[in-house]
Amino acid sequence: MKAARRLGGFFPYALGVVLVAGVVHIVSVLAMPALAPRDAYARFGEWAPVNELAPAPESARDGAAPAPFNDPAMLIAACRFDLSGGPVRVAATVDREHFLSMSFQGRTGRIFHSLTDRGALRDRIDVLLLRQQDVEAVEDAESEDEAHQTLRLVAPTTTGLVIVRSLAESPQDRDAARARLRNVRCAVEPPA
Amino acid sequence: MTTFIKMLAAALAGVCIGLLTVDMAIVRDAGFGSAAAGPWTAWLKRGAPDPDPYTRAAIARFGEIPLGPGEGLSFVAGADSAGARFSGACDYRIVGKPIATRFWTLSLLDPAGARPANGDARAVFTSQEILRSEDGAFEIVASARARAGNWIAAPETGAFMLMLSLYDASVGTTAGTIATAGLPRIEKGDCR
Repeated sequence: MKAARRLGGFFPYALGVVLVAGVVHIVSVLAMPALAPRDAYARFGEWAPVNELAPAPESARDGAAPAPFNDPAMLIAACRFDLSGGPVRVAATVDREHFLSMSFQGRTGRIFHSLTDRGALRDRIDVLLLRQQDVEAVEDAESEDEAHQTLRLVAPTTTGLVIVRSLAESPQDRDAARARLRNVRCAVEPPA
Repeated sequence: MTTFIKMLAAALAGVCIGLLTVDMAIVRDAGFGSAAAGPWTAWLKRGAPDPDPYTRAAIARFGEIPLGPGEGLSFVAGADSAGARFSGACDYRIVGKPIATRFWTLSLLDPAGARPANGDARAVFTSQEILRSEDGAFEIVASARARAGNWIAAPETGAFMLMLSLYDASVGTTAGTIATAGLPRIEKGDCR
């Protein structure tokens, strides 16, 4: 009898522990993308300029890489885009022989598009990043020919990252792979 | 008063358990959205356009820059084909046939995904530079001791990870089709 009463007294507290644990678990998982202080956007912000492409710092000596689980054979460049000043154009000349790829991610790390040199039209990758509210203005201003060659991407957030990867096929190819990254541009589109 | 202390203790316990379970779920990555093929695991949801909340939390927490589905697919292995965890005290042979992809790389990383601090020693092989036999089969040895042929430098002691990245892979990124890619086996050799 006494034991049962004690158990009965304990039960509401146990239920409380479970409820609080559940709420804390769900809230912190959902809040993590918004709150994590060392996400890719924050790390890349230390060296990647806004609306301009820059190569990731390479320091093989201390084993530093631009991000964990990054392929050591890949040379990386990034551009932090900010569409508040208008659409941003990302363009590259590729030779379709060497691997070059791009991924576009929103502020919370969601990749909304990715492509490689294999999908390039006439050896050019041409992407216009824009906000939903800029779509109409861009469509009106663009010529037919331009519209065919440009891939228009509506970004889910105003800011985010464009990550460009260039594969060094061997250690001797690293300089050339670095040079291939320099053929990529990221810039605010001048108003028409 | 004792009721208040009990409630406070219950709330604290709840917060601790909640945070701990988040850590367990994303740090050990309980296998959400993963696909295994032999010793290799792919985090399929990492680069997907609609990752689940746990995947999003893990990406933000570790600052990874996953490959987009249009770029390729990467696999990690922490153990050999027999299931024994990698140790710097042993040699490992990575044996494979041509993989259904445009380019691939095999790299050696520490368990946190950083490049091991072993100076200029080789940490990555690409499909373009590897020595193969006439039928296209290859063998890479991961060992702390330098050797001739395809050698990738492992740490003297402790655990490490192997990462296999497929770029412009011809395989689909669904769990069912990965098995058809023909990923290499990992066999344990001599131990010291």
